[in-house]
Amino acid sequence: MEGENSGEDGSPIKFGRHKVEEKSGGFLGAIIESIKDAFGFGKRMDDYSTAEKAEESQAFNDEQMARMKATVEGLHTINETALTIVPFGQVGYKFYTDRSDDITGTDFALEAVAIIPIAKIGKVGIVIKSLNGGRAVLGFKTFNAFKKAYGVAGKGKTWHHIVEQTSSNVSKFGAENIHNIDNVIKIEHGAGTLHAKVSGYYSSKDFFTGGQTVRQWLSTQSYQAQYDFGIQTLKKFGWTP
Amino acid sequence: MTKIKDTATAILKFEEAAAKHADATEQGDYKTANKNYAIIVKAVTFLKEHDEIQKLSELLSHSSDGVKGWAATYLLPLKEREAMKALEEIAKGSDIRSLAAETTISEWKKGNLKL
Repeated sequence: MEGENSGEDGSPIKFGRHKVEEKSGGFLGAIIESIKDAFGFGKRMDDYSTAEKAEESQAFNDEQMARMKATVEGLHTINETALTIVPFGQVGYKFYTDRSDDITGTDFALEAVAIIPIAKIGKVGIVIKSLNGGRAVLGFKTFNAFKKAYGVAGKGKTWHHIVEQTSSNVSKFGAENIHNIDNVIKIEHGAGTLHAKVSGYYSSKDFFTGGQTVRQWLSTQSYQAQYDFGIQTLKKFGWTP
Repeated sequence: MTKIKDTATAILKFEEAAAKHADATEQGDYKTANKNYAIIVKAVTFLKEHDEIQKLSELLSHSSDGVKGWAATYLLPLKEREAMKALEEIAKGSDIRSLAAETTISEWKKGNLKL
């Protein structure tokens, strides 16, 4: 917001320049505002009682804003995690992170993202350490929330869970470890497609399943074992990552 | 399915069902696969009841990996070396039978397979 006040000499003093920048910055500006509101990171000085104070305030605010922008813009260059996470800020998810985890290369991104406090929709997405490989990803409480964030898979495609979204798996591993982009991939959908073959295979009984379906047998396995088997199944039916 | 009355019929039914199971699995047709699994189990039950399960050995060199794999699986408790060899051969392939064979070997080594 552009505004003005009277300086000591009575001349108008422009202030709030950074506000204009934030708005013109669109999404970036929204994140900056959120960070500032949540943690006081990027405090403002708004003393315009004198020209000197106004100048000092402006310099202080400019410096703070530069720091915040550098923080957020940095997210876009640190690593792919940041690229994955940052766009979700604009739709109002509240993120958390487990600071006890040492996720190489992503700490900075997580720290910044974790303090985006926009809670219009509520706690539906959280930053987790992926059980597959350990990178930071967004986990969701429901598949619908995942799809709301990532959109539709596209024509002729569907979202496919590598570790299946059975009630047993959700209960054992947590919904966020099931509904995240490391575990949900886009594949071809429809009769005779990869998705039909993999789903059909999981409903069948095989050498090693002891009379259970592959799906039932898989449910007794660890997350990593289910993930590895899921990837192998996809590959055997012709999928290429 | 008609009742199995002799060993030759049991082997034949086993062979046909195992081949169909493999084809159906490759297509993701689980209904056909499971229907044929039931026939495999019936044939195996007959062979076990008549102490003829070792007759499945003649299928260990079958051209269908499905037939070879099912025979090898049920022979693991009796003829482990030959059965493992057959499964290892299948595991070298690139289709879904190879993953099944690989997983069977792993489960057997872990003592998880009840046959």
